[in-house]
Amino acid sequence: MIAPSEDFRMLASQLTDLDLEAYLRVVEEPLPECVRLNTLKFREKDVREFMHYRGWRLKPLAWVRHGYRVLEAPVTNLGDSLEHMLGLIYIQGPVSMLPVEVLDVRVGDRCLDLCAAPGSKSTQMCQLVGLDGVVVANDVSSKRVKALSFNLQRWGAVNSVVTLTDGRFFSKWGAGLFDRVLVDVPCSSLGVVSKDWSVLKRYRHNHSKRLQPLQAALLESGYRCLRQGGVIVYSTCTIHPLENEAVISRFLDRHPEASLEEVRPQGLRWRRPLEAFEGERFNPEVEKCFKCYPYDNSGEGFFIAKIRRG
Amino acid sequence: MNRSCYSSLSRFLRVSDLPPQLVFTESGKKVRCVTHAALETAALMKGVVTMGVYAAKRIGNDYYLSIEGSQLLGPYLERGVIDVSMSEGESWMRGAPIERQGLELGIAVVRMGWLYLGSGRVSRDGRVYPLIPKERMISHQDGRD
Repeated sequence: MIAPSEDFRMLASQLTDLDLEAYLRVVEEPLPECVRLNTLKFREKDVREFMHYRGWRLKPLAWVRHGYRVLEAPVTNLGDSLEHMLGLIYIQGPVSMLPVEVLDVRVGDRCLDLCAAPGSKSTQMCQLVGLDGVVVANDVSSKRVKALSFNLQRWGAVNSVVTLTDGRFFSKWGAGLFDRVLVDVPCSSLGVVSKDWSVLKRYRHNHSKRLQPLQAALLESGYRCLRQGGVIVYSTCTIHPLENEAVISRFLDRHPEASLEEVRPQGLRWRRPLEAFEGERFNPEVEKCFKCYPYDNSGEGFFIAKIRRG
Repeated sequence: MNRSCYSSLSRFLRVSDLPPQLVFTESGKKVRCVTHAALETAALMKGVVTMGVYAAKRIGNDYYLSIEGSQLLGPYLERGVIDVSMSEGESWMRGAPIERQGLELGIAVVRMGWLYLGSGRVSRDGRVYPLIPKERMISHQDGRD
């Protein structure tokens, strides 16, 4: 049984809609194995037939195009499969595929992934924009950019540009250039504890407090990079309201011209964001955001906001 | 497209049939494949690390194709393609050479059905040795216990 830190227990007691027992039970289990098929290099039908012949059994995910749950595989470790090495598939958590789907990327769009490494969402955007679109995949860490470049290479992302800059300042040269922007910010990762249990043991309340200004600055910079009418998606894999509802609420207060759009994906359980936390009452528009806990879908916990630039 | 790169590639490739969105750029010995849209956008960005994908490496007069290079350019190749079975393809991806008689010395691209698996060097001993980076090889224990 995982022993969470005192700070996490205190947070859990403040989240009136969180079932701590269910949360701890689910995060002890590994995430369900899911993959996304590469439609940038290949035809989905060909990949599916090839994988079926090799012994894979896949079930489509209802909330994402080209996403599948793996029921059977010819290898123990999917990362060591021929399909992975040849770039036919990308191994990705089931809910983690949702932010790009919500972003509503269209063929020919110019997209920005502001905090892109290791590249799962960038590769997803690349396959949706096609050869006439482009995805700029940015990250601040040179070590993480190496992993990002490797994954884009494996995916055959001829329509990608990798940049190494601090996303908070990206709007200095990228203002108004993009149709779609994804800001999948660094967060306390309390929604993906299955990947690393130590997150719960090490969790301190001031961690979320320290992250919040960075998250807000990245969202602000990403928003400035949008052309008028463009769409930005802000996402985190945490359950902490300071990193989720509070960031969006304060953003909306600063930008009355921005409009929040409802995120209600098919096939996934979701819950209403909180109306208030630690004495702060959130902008009522925040209720349009998507939020789920890990046990809602036996997957990751996520928070997603979709904002259109006015 | 870089002119010398274009003429070199056209020696073994139906370049005119390639998707019009693609551009090849050669820097040093490496050839990258990128779209026009990505090139145009990169010109507006700061801190650009890479664009598109690494497609080939020039060694002498030959081009070794990366896995992605073979998948992009394979359908337009006019010669030098070897067809392999599923089991040969798997062992190729583990780093094992393929035995074939009567091949021209130089570079060969390996194809398993419709799927291209990169390129290799045809040796005098009648074997094709894979030029696949270690991090793209599958391990020898490819199978459920």
